[in-house]
Amino acid sequence: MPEENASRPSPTERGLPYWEQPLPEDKEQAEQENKARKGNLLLDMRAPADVNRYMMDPMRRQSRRFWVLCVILAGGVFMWWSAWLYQAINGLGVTGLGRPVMWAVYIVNFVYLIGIGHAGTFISAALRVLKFEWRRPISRAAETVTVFALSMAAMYPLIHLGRVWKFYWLLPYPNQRQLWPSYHSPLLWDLTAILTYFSCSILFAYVSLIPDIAMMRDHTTGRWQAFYRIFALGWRGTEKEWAHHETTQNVFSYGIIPVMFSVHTIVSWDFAMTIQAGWHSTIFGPYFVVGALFSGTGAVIIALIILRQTMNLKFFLRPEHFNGMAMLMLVLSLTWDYFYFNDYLAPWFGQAPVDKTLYQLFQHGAYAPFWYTMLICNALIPALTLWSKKIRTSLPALFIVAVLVQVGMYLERVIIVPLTLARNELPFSWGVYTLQAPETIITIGTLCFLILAYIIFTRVFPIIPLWEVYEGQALHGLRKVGRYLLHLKSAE
Amino acid sequence: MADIHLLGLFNNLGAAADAIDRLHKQGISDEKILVLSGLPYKPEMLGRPHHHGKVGLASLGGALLGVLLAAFLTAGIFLLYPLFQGGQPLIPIPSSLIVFFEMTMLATMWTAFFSMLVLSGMPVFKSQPYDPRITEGYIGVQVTLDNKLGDQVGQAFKDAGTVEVKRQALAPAIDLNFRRFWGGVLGVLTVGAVISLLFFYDVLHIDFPTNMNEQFSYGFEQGPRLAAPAESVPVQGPALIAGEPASLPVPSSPNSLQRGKTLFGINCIMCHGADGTGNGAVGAFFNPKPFNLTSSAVQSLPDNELFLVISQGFGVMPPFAENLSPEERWDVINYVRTLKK
Repeated sequence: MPEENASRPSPTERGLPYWEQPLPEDKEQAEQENKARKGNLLLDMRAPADVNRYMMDPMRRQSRRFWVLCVILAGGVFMWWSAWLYQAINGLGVTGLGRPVMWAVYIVNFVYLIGIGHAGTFISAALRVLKFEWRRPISRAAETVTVFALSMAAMYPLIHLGRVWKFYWLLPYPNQRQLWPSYHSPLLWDLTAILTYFSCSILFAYVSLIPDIAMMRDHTTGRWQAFYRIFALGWRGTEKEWAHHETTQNVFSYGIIPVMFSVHTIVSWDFAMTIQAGWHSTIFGPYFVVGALFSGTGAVIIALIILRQTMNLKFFLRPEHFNGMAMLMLVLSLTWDYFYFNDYLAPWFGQAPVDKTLYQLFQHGAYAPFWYTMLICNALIPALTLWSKKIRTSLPALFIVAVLVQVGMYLERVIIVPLTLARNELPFSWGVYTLQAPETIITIGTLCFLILAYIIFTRVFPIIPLWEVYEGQALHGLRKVGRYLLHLKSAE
Repeated sequence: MADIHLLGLFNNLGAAADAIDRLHKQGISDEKILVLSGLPYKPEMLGRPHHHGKVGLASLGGALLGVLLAAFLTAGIFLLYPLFQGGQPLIPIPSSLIVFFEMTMLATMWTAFFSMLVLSGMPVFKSQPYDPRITEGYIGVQVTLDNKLGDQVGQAFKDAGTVEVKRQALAPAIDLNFRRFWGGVLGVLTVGAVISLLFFYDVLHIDFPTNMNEQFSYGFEQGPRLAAPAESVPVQGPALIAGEPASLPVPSSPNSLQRGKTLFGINCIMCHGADGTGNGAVGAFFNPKPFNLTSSAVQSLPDNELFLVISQGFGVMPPFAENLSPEERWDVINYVRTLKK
């Protein structure tokens, strides 16, 4: 009698590369295995030479539409710089800023972009630490969102300066006026936090990029090869290099998660440390962090869907990844609901006149359209749609939900910054903020820069961490338990 | 005398592990063998000793550096150049902790990155034994050995099922290391010198650029200031032109009084108080106290005078021309008149 449960010889014992593992002879088992491979990227093993081509082909061939888009976006960036120059020459008076609304769209954009920048680290560091294997193909797309969103967020404090050429007054350096920055101020905590987060995010993204740049170096010629040779730093993939690479990634993963939490907590302290009604709240720290992760996850979903459709990455980005991301977004939406309710509850219970005034404006005053749209986009729509796997894996539906989440989270910041600021304790200093052309152009221009930088990056560097996918494919496997094939994940 | 590199390429782990076993049997130690791969296999999978890196240790050292940097930023600077802020300690502990945290993490991660480069011997731009197929999933086994042993080891690779064996002569690496070492020392010294100069203003005077003389200013702002012609500019409070109302007054009516009361409640009550006696919650902090609107000193003023005080402000009272339209100001005046005792 043949032994039914004898384990198959592993591919290495047969002397075959991992990607040539044949299907089992048993018909039922072969069918099961085929199905598992189809559904899961890490089981769908192909020769890396082919997979490299899946990645590099769309990077090399650009349609005319791509270049037209680039020109349009570059035009937007030029408009941004022109508007900024105009504002620098004429002063901040050309914007809608004025007493009492001294913080408005620029600060909203700042908070929003830093929020988006949280997803990259969360997905690639936290999911790495927690060993979520589906993060493998999407981690770089998320990290890249972080890097470019943060670089644009870092522009906004500068844009908000009346005399931007004096930005270096923020740094401690010796001068005869002994004008040292004061570490009593949340704004300076912000500076150190964002400096740490931004520079470490770039290094983190670069560390994981090095093996893939080496791949690009090996498969290009001429000038491009010289370009990749510089950035690959002579990477060959020796054991020593991989061991140091792994430790470095671990240091970054464990280090950058607390930094990520600290960054948005400190951004929230920019508000919470004041005595402005609606800002002076102890729950602002975690509430902002959750909101940031929520909007960031939505932004990464949008980026992934667009990448998959325009760069033909159907092999790498499968329903399982969108399913995982959407579930993450649903969980974060519910967490956001919880914190928003808490943030609402304490002032409502306190019934201070100024809080009452604000809440009346939210519920049936001039701010009601913003407030209800925010609640619908952030709480209602994710909760109503994302429980369904059909919607989670349907790209158009998921795209719409993710865009609505962006709208909701942007409105949340609009409500917190200019709308709340317009109503303070003393009614005689109430005011109204109106959007002016410079802010509008600068906002659109920075978004154009973000998208332009992102799409150019995806054409120069592999947006899928190929080595991480290969690692997953080489170390994952199936084991037969009874009549069922169980997907085994690497234990380490 | 080791003088060549031999690189055997394998398309699966089993064959590579077999080749390494054969090398061991020929008496080649693990230090002379190098495994190249496009994905991080564990050394144990190939029967190789585990590699203990020092990146973690180095980043711990970086963390210490970060603590020192934060101590300099938060405490050092303010001990050198005290900057007192009303009622707060010179070096506040809670907010310093934030800077300590951020700087520690910054230095930890930066050190991890640079120690990864240094410990792996990167960057390398000279030619090394390599094959592009390593980033296509192939595994390279590199041995550094005597030229005369080359054929024997090449045969061992073939027996293990190699795809290809590559030979490369050993490149002299002394010059590069020499230059790198001294370049590094020079770089560290220069950076250290510049930083230490920067932080001692007494040594290196950096003038504070103010751009005062480059900013926009108009002729009359540049002085010398001319005195205003006599009686042309009011210098003692709001001006009043006898008999000329500042705007058309709104006659007192129940509607006007109702509006005036609401506006008074929004704009005036915090200083002048609900009954107008100047006992408002905010007014308590002022010296001199806000005017008692019920007093005869105020009530005896003509309407025009009250209108100008509301419009232009008086003393610490801010102007209300932005907040209240002229009609609304007259409503407030009508209401204030009812406060008379």
